[in-house]
Amino acid sequence: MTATRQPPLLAVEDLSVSFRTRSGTVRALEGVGFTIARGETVGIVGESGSGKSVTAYAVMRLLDPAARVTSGRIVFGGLDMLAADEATVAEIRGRELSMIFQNPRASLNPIRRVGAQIADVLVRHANLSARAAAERAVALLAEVGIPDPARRARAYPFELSGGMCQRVGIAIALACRPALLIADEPTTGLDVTTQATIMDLVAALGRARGMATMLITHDLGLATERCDRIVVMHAGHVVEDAPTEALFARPRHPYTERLLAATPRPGRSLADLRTIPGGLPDLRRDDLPPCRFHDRCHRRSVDCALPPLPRRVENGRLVACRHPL
Amino acid sequence: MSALAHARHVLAGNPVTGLAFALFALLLLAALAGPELVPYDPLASSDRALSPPSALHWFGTDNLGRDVFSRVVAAARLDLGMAFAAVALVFGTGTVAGVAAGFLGGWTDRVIGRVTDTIMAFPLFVLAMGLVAAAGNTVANVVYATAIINFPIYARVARTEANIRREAGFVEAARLAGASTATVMLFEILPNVLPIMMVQVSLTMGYAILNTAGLSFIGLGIRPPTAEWGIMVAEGAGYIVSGEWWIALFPGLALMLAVFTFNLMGDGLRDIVDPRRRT
Repeated sequence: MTATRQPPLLAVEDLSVSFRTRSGTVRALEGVGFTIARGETVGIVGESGSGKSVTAYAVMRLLDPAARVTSGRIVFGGLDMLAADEATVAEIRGRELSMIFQNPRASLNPIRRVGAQIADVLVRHANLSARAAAERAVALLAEVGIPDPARRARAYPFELSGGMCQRVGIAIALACRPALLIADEPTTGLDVTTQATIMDLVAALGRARGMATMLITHDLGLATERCDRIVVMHAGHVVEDAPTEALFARPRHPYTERLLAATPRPGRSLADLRTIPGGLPDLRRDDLPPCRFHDRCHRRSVDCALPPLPRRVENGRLVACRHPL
Repeated sequence: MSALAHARHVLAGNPVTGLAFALFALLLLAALAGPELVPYDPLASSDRALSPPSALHWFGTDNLGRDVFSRVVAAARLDLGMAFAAVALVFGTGTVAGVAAGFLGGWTDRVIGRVTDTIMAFPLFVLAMGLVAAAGNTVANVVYATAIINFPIYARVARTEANIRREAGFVEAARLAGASTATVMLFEILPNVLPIMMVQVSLTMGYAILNTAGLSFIGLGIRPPTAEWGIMVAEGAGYIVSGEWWIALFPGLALMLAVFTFNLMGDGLRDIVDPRRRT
């Protein structure tokens, strides 16, 4: 797409992850692939259980012990994340690659002052002395828009509101100027006005630092507002990957189309909202069709049940469907 | 909020805590300065043997004419000192072992779990007796034995508290920020476990005092003529039937008061140590 043929910051290639559970193997991700360029904001969109968070944790290489990567590669800034040793990955986490979470209060240690928790990352990765890190932590709190930062640095998480806690989380994540920020449903637990200010903050700080963002959300409306490109996931597959305007103007995958029809938009009546029939297929099944949307799709035909899952690439977008719109 | 103002706030909320800390201050004073403050030499005998409590001898005198009050006060240093040493030892080892077991799981958990199970399989006082008898009848061994029999309490409580925080959001967040397993364990989990362990410290201080006094009561550890509550109760026990009740009663009361104080202090300590209680 871009004129300069720079390698992408993050490339996920043919990633498959399965979980061994008591009731069988769950094929949580299958052949997932996408790239994120430097400075780009990419939304990973899908309903609960579609594999968004598993993808994020795989990139961080912090999957549950029950999870196994069965195929694929994750290349971040030239480093093969799945092959690198633990010390190298720990070096990168929090410095080049950081994350903000769905539940900001739970992601802070309840018994330590927030300033100290920000300083931790700086001491670990930026080689600052404890004193310099504490001063820098206060500066970071100011940067994320917390009033009276010197006093707030001495506060405990329970003394702060949810939005404030998320600001602290952002300060921790951005302390070392990472190249990529993974935001896992960062505004789900917050009220609507706080949601907007938090997203504005992430966008502004990201722009100022030339940071790429991977925004994981089930809120297609939020993703269209904030992202350059959207990767739509369904039941562990990437079903569509397209620039936001193109996706919005003309969805090609039946699932994306249904998802858009289920998202309220300005200028449309609420009565036009449609639900998507059915639910996610049971990923423990051995006879999963190649297209996992098969059972819910209104455009399916007999040949949809035949492997392999087609992946059409055209005009910088990808659609995994035999009968795209 | 300053530490002092915070302590005042906690005390205002719970007057019993205030009482506990006042009693604790009294015990501390006796332990630190007792031998220097008492009116008589706790080891010096006199010709006033077995005299009942009076203005001259507040708690009476024993069979050798030693002043019971002086001995009770002077003994605080030894009794509290031994209990404190034992608790400090088990607090360090038990908490770290428990946190490691709860957080790391796997083999660490299994080994530490079996060790605590083995200790708990014995009647604890009998185990302490056996350990002291086998290792040698010294003050140090009484301290070690007391620490060992309290180990399961610390290891188990710390294990549970670490285990429920193993998958907590902040642990995940710390890992995602590049923290190593040891860092997460010592700087994220351990501080969360400490307030709960502080309550254990106070409770086990009581048990530890009883245990060391109990061991000397049956003749292990401290030897006469040292002033020690357990020995004094043992020495006085024979005189109760003949009417000289004060020789055993006062050291017994001192023991009871010490155990009572530390049990009362438990909750108050948690309120002061745990920042989540600061509202």
